Amino acid sequence: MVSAKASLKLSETEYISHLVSFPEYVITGLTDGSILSVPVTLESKLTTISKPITGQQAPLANLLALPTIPHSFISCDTKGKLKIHDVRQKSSQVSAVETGLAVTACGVSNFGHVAVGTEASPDAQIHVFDVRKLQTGTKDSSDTIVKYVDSHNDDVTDLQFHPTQKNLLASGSTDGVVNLFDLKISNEDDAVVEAFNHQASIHRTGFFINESITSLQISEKTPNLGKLFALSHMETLTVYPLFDEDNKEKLEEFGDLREAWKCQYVCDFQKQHFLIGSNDENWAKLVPIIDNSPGDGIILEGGHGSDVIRCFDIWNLSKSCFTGGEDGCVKLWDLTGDFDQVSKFAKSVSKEKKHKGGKAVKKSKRAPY
Amino acid sequence: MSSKITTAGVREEVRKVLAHSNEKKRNFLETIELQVGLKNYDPQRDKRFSGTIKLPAVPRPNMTICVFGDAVDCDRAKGAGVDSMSVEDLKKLNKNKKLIKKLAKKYNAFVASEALIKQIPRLLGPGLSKAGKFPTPVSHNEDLVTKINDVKSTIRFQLKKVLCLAVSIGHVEMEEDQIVQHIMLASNFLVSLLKKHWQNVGSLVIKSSMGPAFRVY
Repeated sequence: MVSAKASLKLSETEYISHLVSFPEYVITGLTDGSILSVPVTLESKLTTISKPITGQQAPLANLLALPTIPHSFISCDTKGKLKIHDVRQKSSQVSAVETGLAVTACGVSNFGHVAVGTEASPDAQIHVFDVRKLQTGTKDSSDTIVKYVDSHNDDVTDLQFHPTQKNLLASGSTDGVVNLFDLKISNEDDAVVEAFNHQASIHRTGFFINESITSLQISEKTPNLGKLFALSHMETLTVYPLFDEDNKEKLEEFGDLREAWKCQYVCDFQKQHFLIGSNDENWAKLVPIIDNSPGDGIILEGGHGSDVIRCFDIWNLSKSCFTGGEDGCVKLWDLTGDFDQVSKFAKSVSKEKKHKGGKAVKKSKRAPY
Repeated sequence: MSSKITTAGVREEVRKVLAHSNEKKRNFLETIELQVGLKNYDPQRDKRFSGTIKLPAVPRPNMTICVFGDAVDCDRAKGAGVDSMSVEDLKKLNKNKKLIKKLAKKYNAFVASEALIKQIPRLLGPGLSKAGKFPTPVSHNEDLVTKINDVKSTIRFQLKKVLCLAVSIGHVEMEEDQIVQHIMLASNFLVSLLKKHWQNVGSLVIKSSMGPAFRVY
């Protein structure tokens, strides 16, 4: 059991719906669409990165770090505006692109792709872009790498790229189906390589991978495809084997996690960890996935009280964790119990920065196909 | 968490619904719907509220099902008097969009053998997914008829941008006890998914397709 090391209230009225951590800053997304940057020590030195103009507020669809562009993250709102920001350049985004889509889901790959999924109006579409094209801030239809419009019956709720296979994209939808696309195939009739009927609106899908993907060192040696999971809005979880043509492996049904894991809600899945919690009993728990099964969890004592935790990110080589909740608070949790290590890490980062003089890190050479 | 509705209270309202439906018979089987009005809930910010509920009995008896089966399951389907199609039948569709659309329209739902379901996207393309009818898998260890009944008795609920949603929980020819049981089960399950439980429920209303509405909460 660990207790919160620091806590900071960002808003009285809005929820914190999204959160992504960098070595020095935590970027938080609020439900009114504003984006705030907070120092990792959670001192109240807030910087507003983006604030929607009154009357034009659109909730965020997602807020994600861009693995291929250092110090960068992407925000996507439900009106389809994609913005790429640099954490070091406060208040101004690097580039913005209007897709004009009613976006409900957004995902980024470790290989420089951004995918957005839309509401069913009437087609629930999935578009995949090259992040470098988005960076230029201009957008024309040729920038879309692939577009799938016929594979879902209802709103797309989650898009997750495979961490090691750059051509695989999983999409979840309110229609209860998770589709796995091969992005090398642009003809939609052939692009869905696997489909799983989870039979309930998908909250989160993704991949259980044995080796740690928290580091960004991507190995392209032996493909480790792992398994695909589907978590519904009713908190039912099923784990499916991938490309198992001979039906050698069985899918594994965890059923309703509220019963199986004795919690009230499942918050999210990040970096091979589920965050679960109970807002009646005021606790949260971080459950790691090891070899496709849940390992021993760490209880975050008190959670966000009687409010639901909406987002979390694991930081500092899995030693710390940030959570954001419907109480408008961000909390920092020390997972090791060593209370000094957070400040030590923060110091070492700032030292390193001084040493390097804030030089921009070389651009990734990895070219998307 | 104690339920805020009682079997006795719900039974009284169900009787009213059934009485109204008996008074004026319609030329079709009226469905009974449970309508939920939420409060203190913001569909823009709060978690999506959608999913499925499996009821003990089939609320829509006229649902049609087709089995995509291997040899074993096609035989089982024939035995049970359920339409079925083999891999060869599916291959004959030749990914023709019109034919697949027609197939999707012809049935309410599909069930496919576990061994076959992986090939469905490749054989049929996205047509069934587009129609929201991607098949449910069935293994040889499961009883096919039970599986088909499971699919038939699973109902979907979904909150869109307004604070109310409706689910069909039965029809007017069903036993009163069964309807009451379905309402209790569906209401309590929906409430369990809400973060503030009954404090998020504004109203619960039941009505038949053509009849007036009766409030149960």
